[in-house]
Amino acid sequence: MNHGRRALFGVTSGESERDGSCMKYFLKRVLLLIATLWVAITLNFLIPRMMPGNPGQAVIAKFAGEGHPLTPSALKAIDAMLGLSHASLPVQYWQYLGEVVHLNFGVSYSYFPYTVTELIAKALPWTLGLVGVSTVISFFVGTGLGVLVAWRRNQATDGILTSIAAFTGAFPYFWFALAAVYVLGFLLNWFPLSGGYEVGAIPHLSWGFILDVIHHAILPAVTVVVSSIGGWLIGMRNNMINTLGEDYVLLARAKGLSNRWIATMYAARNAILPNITGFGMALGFVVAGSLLTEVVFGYPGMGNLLYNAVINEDYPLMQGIFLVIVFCVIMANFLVDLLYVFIDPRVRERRGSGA
Amino acid sequence: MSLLSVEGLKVTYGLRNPVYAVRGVSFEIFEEEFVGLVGESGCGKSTLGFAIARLERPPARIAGGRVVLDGRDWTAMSERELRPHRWKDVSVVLQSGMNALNPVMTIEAQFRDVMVQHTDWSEPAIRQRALEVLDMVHIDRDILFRYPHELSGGMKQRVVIAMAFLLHPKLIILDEPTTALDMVVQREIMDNLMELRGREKFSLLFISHDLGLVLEISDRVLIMYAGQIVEENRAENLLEYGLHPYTQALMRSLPVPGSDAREFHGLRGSPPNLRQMPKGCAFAPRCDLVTAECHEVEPDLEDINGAKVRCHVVGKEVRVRGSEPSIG
Ligand SMILES: Nc1ncnc2c1ncn2[C@@H]1O[C@H](COP(=O)(O)OP(=O)(O)O)[C@@H](O)[C@H]1O
Ligand SMILES: [Mg+2]
Repeated sequence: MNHGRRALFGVTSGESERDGSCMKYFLKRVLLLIATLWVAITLNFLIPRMMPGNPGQAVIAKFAGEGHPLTPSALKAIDAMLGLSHASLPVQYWQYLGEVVHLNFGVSYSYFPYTVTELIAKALPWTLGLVGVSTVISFFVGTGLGVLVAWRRNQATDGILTSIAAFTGAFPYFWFALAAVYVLGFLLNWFPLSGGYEVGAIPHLSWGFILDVIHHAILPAVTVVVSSIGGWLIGMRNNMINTLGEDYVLLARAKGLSNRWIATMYAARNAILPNITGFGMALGFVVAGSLLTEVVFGYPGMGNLLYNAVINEDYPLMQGIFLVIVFCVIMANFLVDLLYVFIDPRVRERRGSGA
Repeated sequence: MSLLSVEGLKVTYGLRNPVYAVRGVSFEIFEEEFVGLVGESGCGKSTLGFAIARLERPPARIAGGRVVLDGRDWTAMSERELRPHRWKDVSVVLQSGMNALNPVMTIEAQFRDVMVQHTDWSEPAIRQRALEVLDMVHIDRDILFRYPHELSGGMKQRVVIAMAFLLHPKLIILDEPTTALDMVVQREIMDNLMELRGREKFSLLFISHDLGLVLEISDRVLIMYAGQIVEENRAENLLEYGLHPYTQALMRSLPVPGSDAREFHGLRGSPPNLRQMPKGCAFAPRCDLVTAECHEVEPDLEDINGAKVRCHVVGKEVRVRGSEPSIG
């Protein structure tokens, strides 16, 4: 009957049935993930085909106008992505799915002869490195400070940090970033004005190059962190203050537990739940949200790539980037949903059985 | 010597235009004694209970008086000094037991942390004690690894009561432990408390607006009105005859055996505003025995035949009659 550790104490637990509902929850999430991805990919197929005019034709015409010969395989990919061929829609759709599965999004018009896939593969690590890391840092530092100021609410620390957070959070990012470049880059010359690394350097793994990359990343990273950290701080502070008013926190105090334990396990552990959802959204929008940062700082990531794609009406590239953005958002939400299972025991049942 | 001695305790809410929620309360609880605290909702019972355990939260503030528990003045100690004595000297069961458990920790974890904090018990001893207290409140041992949301309201309240016993506390403060529960569960929990009395050594401060429940479980009863104790009497005396007019009104509102009706006759008006207390006796505007003196002079809590009552009229009456030899 009873096995292992618990048998020793004559205790059985509901853990096995909990594992069951956990599994069910996971399966549901995966199915939902697949369905959402499918919808996004299908929309990506339909939209160019529903646009007035024919973007595919326009691309081919541009290539021809510039005297670039298109290889048959490139033509086939553009075909599949933008709908040039005269095959029936289902046939086109089938071809399109094949291209997507093989991550073949055709050739970029503006960066010819690079393929869209090559361009994205080159740009993505820069964005993830800069905006992704900044977002993670901002979340953890901001949330941590939120816990701190809520614990010391109405004291000096709270007053000062919360005012600063409200101020930086309200500042328009674009102007703030421009001002940072102008003052710290141009006037004081402390940081490079633009780029991800020294002009002319070839990306490779060496300490010199890594230091150069970090040197280029500091200013844009700081602007991202400064502009987003206030939101995390204030959000967490408000959640924390609500949670600190809960009976279970009062009872924790009555139990004579240490302040640190009460602040983390009783208050922050409950207060962080809404923030986690926000964090998932923020991570999902790292790629999409990198646009301003990367344009201001001339950073070689996805935001800059998207900017150039739009400027040059580079439809294949835009479509490829669109898919990446959607994929990131969907994946981030999926991961947050999974994370919830671990941090909120109530979720399993609520989302696993219901809904 | 008494286990708990509350001396002239005053608690206010807010600094400007404060609410005087507890206005100079004094009483004692002796070892293994069960004391009840009764009064209408809003009269300051919870405020008093929290202040005794030094759990008052802003804007609540102890504005005067002392709480001496097991020889230590809790009102003179800092949070740091209090911490080692918390849950060992006094544990609490909150009014809304539903919300007293941390939703993201298992019951086991919430039992464990307080034992780890205060004892050097071994791992098996900690587990053993957790199971013991669950047995005490007649809950399946299985629920140890469950989360609060997996339990019913009655089970949660029992878990909270079980938790209160973990460290063999000297005093347990129960604030309306059964108010949110249905009658059947309420009955079970009351029976359970009486049964525990025979097994564990502890004192109890049982707070409720329900005089019937309080009389059932208490040795001695404190009647609270508008932030003050208006009567302190032994439960068996109260069952026969309450001294204070307010107590008598409460007694009249008890259900009469054989009738389902529970009318609240004899009490007109509503309790006074605790921000602006009228001069004189707080109960005067609602009292049937009121005299001119009552509106002018606030009565003191006076000893009468081993009981205490805060009333000009009843006080004199009983004192006069009390000089005769045969008063029961
Ligand atoms: N946070 C608060 N701020 C201001 N007044 C309060 C607060 N909490 C309670 N009070 C007031 O204190 C008085 C006593 O409340 P409480 O102790 O909860 O009464 P009881 O437990 O007897 O129902 C009430 O009149 C209430 O209005
Ligand atoms: Mg109350």
